[in-house]
Amino acid sequence: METIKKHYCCFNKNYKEAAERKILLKYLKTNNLLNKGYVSTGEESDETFHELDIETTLNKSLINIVPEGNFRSRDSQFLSEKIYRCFLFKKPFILLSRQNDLSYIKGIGYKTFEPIINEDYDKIYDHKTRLIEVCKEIKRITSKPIEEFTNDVDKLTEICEYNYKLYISNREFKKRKFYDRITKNY
Amino acid sequence: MIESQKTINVLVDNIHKEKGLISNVVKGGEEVLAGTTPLIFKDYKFNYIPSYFVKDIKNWIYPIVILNSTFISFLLANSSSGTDVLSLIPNKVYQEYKKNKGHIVLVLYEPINDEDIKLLVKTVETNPRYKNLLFMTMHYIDSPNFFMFNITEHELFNFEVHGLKYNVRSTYELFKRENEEKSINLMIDDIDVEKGCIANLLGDERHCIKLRPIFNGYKLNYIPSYFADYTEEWYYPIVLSHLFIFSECGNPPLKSLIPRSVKEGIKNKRGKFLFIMVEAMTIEMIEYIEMIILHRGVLTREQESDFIFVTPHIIDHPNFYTADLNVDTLLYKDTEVADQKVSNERTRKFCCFLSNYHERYIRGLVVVALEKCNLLDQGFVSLKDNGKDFKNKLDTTLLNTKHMQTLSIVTEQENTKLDFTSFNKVYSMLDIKDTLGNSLFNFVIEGSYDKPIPRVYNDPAGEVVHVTEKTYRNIIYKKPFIILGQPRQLEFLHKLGYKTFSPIINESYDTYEDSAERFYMVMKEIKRLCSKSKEELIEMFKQVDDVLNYNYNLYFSKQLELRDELIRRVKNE
Repeated sequence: METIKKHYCCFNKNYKEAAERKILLKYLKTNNLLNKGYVSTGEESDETFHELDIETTLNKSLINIVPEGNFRSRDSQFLSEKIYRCFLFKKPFILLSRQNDLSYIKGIGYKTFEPIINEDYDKIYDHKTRLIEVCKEIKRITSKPIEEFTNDVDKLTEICEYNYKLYISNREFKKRKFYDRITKNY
Repeated sequence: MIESQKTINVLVDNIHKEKGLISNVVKGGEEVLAGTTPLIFKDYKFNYIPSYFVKDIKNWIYPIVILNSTFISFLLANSSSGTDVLSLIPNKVYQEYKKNKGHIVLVLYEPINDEDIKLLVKTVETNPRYKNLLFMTMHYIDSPNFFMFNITEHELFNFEVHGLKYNVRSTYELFKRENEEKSINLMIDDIDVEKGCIANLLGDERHCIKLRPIFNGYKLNYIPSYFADYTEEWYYPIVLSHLFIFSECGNPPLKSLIPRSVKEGIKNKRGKFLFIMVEAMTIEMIEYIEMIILHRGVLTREQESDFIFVTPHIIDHPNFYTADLNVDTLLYKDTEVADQKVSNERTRKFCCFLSNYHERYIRGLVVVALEKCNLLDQGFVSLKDNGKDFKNKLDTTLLNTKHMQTLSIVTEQENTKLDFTSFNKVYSMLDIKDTLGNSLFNFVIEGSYDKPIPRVYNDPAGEVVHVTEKTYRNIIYKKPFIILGQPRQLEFLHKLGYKTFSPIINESYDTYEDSAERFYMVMKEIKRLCSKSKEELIEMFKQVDDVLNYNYNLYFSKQLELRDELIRRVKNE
């Protein structure tokens, strides 16, 4: 794997499972954006990787583009490992996900990355339009020179630290709560 | 610090000897059970405990991993008819759950839809049956039984399952910490949720009963053998009646049947094999062990020390120990059938436990000899069904003319027939303790009689001599005895340090190799003793009181000696 820092990474190994992931990959390819990031597709090529080591890749990328599951779902929101991973590795992210997932994340106490990242996409009801807006935002940020984008992302360090601490403290709190319940029944 | 570390006791129905944790109730989810949850709680200690032991454990959780939540609502939908998720868990666990001793935890690995969430919350909150049913979900659900966790914690790092064996603990440390008393760890391949510990390597199903007296005073920690390489100082017990697994396998079973973790644990000097031979072994078996396990060149001396044998025999090798392997239940009771008490009757000169007379012809010979010599009234003799079908039931396969001739000499009757009619003079079953207490001496018909196998081995007795609980019980109850069994069984006892009753009892019978001659000599001595009055016998046997007390003390001190020796060996001291 290359050692230089890139604009983004995208763990998209299972892109065949969902239409929006396929479209995202196609968009990155047709707009020559694959070489600006580390992208896993389950297939090795000049521009993509078969599989990427998560920790190393996140450390070599400025942001994480997260193709979540349940893109079209309108049901109760939840956080998956894909987002927790960003908290744990202190990485800003763009979500290719359901409507209002960012709102949900903010609702449970985490912070997101406006205005460095335009997060208007989160409020868009229509799946197709939301997907297009996500792609546009990816194109916008990757069009910036790496130095400039690095400076932008540096401004998000505080938020990432905050999210990390919240994630850890939440986890510890829940563990204690669960433990008290099973040992003391309260 | 382990002492201050929080511990979660996780009940698992099946901890497979090779695969490790198998998910409770539903298929799949082992990664979540062994990987994710310990990862979430990685600073906590996880004790994975076979759910068979649920009664011994406090504050346990019984996890059920639901990988496919499509029909999640059905898990609780039929509570009224008792066909919900709680009806799927083992009864032992359910009974303790009902007593609020632990929690069932449903780990929902997938997101669930709004309707199901509402239904679940409503059902759990309103039905007291689910008071201790907890949910670990990806969702934030504002209800006391629902806990939001990152169920996919193991996927934070890489896409493969992260550390299946991560933070695995076993009952070992749990018991070690919670019980101040001394304990010994025993690795068991299969601890069934209902039946409990299944004997390793198709061994004797009563293996736990056999192991208990050997480690008398120690708590036995039964640990799934999957954890063998995570646990220190253990034995992998193989309790066998016969070494058939050796003889029937082309390859030594230690390679093919022993779980990998046990092999690794032994290689890493964490534990040892403990072979316990319940029954006497044949010369072939002993030689086979010698060849496979103890033969120089096959195993190094260091490897040799990993194999400890407890047998009824005296075998001159540092890894072989001689012990009475027939435990209290067998030692004190003749059968499981209700026994007749004789404590209200007058003391008799002797007793002879022959309930299973039909299994060996020698027992039949004794019965006929006692009948024809009019000795039945002088002793308590038990014969199943009072010997009513004596002629048909008795196994006479090995009976020969010489024995019949000897019987005639003993009874002083020509052509004595092998028949028995004094049904009212014998007992169908006798209570052992009670009967011994009411008899002056015990006429012991030992298990082996006709198979004194000559051999060349370090065994000082020169044969595979042994005695069983039939003899040992006299030591426990301080009763003089005469043994009709293998030649030189008394000599065997002497080698173990016990004393016998010569000259009060003429014990020359012990040296006769010929079984018919031995039968004659024993019966001659029985007749001599019975010719004396009870008062005379009481006076005579007073002279062996010191011997009886000595033997009694020796028996128990040997038991402790063996136990301490086995503990010392397992600790590699």
